[in-house]
Amino acid sequence: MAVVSPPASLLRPWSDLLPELLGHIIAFLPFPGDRARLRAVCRGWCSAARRHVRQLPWLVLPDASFCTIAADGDDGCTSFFFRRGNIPGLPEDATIVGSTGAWLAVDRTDDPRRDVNHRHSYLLHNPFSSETVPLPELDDVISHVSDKFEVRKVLMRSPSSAPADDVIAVITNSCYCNVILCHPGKGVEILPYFGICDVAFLGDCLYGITADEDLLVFELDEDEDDGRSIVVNGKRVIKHPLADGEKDPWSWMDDDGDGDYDDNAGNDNDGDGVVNDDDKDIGPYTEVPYQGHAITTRKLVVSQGGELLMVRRIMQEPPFTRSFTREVKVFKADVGIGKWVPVDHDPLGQDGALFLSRAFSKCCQVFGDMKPGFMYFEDVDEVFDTRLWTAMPFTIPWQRKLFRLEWTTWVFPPEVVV
Amino acid sequence: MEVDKGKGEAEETRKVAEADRDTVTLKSSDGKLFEVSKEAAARLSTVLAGMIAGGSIDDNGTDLKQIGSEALENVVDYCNKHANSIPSAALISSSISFNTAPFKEPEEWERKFVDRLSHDALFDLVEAANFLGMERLLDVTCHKISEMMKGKSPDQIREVFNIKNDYTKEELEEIRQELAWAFYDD
Repeated sequence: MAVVSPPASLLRPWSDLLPELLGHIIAFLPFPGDRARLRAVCRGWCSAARRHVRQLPWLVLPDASFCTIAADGDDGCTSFFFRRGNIPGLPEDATIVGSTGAWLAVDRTDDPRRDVNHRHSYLLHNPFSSETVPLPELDDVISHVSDKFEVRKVLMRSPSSAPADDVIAVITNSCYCNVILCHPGKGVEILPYFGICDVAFLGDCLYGITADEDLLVFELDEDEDDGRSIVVNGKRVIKHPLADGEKDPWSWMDDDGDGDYDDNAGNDNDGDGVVNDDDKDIGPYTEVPYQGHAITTRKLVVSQGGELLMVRRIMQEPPFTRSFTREVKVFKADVGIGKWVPVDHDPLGQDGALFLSRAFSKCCQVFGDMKPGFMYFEDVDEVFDTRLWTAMPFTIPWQRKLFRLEWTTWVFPPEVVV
Repeated sequence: MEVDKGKGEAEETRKVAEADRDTVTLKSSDGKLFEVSKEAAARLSTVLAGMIAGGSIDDNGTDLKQIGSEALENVVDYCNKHANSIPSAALISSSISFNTAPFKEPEEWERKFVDRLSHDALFDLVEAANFLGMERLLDVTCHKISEMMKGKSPDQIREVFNIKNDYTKEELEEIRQELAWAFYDD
């Protein structure tokens, strides 16, 4: 078929395009800048964009492909998948290992094979502004690592600031560098051996939680010599109740400050003396007999109201059917009495929503398609409504399942144009 | 209907014959006829699938009054090409039982297919795809259009898509200020 272009004056004006079709087109333009510029084209497009563009944060996969998700259906979403290469300015050999705010944490290796020891270098990349901040201080610590090494979370102290002026906490699975506090251009501070599985910044402190649900707090200050952030004081503020005969390897931490040696202090806690070890005994929370693999995860988040919360989630992974959330509980850290206090009513606050993934946890103000009180996961086809304490079906993009055992993360576009 | 019984009977026999045929005939708004494989039409278009299942396909050409001949030619062309190429994408998506299969990027032939279209043809095709419930074609055309917008300033977009600026100067200035971060390049 021959295509003859008529003179420009005869062309059909695209402002006549059906609004829902424009919405469909905009779904292929994930970057906020493109969406913002469409608003300035004409009135019709502006209102179509307003009406048809809503979405959740991006779900970024380790290979730097990503999904945008619009939660417009009853039980799920319209998701759009963007292959690797759609994020401008990202190096070829990049693997996404985490995210913080609008920044992606990137691991570069000179050898893509997973089973070989190779050099790593790390950087932060902002897909929305295309800025890149190398982290040579981090390279000095975890450049040569075994193939079992994993970065488990990357967290900026104040994600809205520039990384160069900020402190970045990196949690790894190596006990030698459990938590690395990286201050770009200044240096690092390493917290070894603590067994911390998640961290959160609050006030002048870094909080860390262990698999036993001990809460550790590290006071941060600037080093007088080089200006990097250092830990000036660390102690345990919540300790889990000990089982019979269980030794407490961290009792020394309680020494300084108002340490509490009284073991029975926590015995009426609902944890009641059982160690919550991820793949052993999941303790008295079990209400059903063994049904397959259950995984308990614990995440620290700072709520919209500035409280430190622990989200404990038990996920059931039956061998032949879909995984599901068996239980979610939210606790508030009460440092004064040294306990986790369950929050039964509206733990995320009036209009907060929570996003979790293996490498990510963030409580945020609802926008776009988010619903207040909802917890969004990336590993099951469910959302959890903390107001009804029940899970509801929610289809996550199937591409997520290509990376079953890997770290997927949420990234928040800085401006949402709706 | 009652006027000519003979014609009614002929219609019946034609319908029977229609059921055995493996193509359907579609008629554009300007009266041109196009043949397309019944299997492909049913698979790619929810509307045509419904018509085929409901027996409302006319052997003399099913009227599609909303679609011009150029757009319909493209639709038919797409169906035939799709029938010939397929496998990978369709197989993968059918093996995964999710009610909302996410978009997969256009394959090479689909890219070529939409690249050769004029803007007007693309406009008509995206509306035809929408009208006929052709999800994949809709995705491919919308994806193409989105690529024509990517990274462009509002002025450039207006030029490409022949759109009149109906904002007042003040309104435009307001938008620009509100979204200043998005207007780095113009």
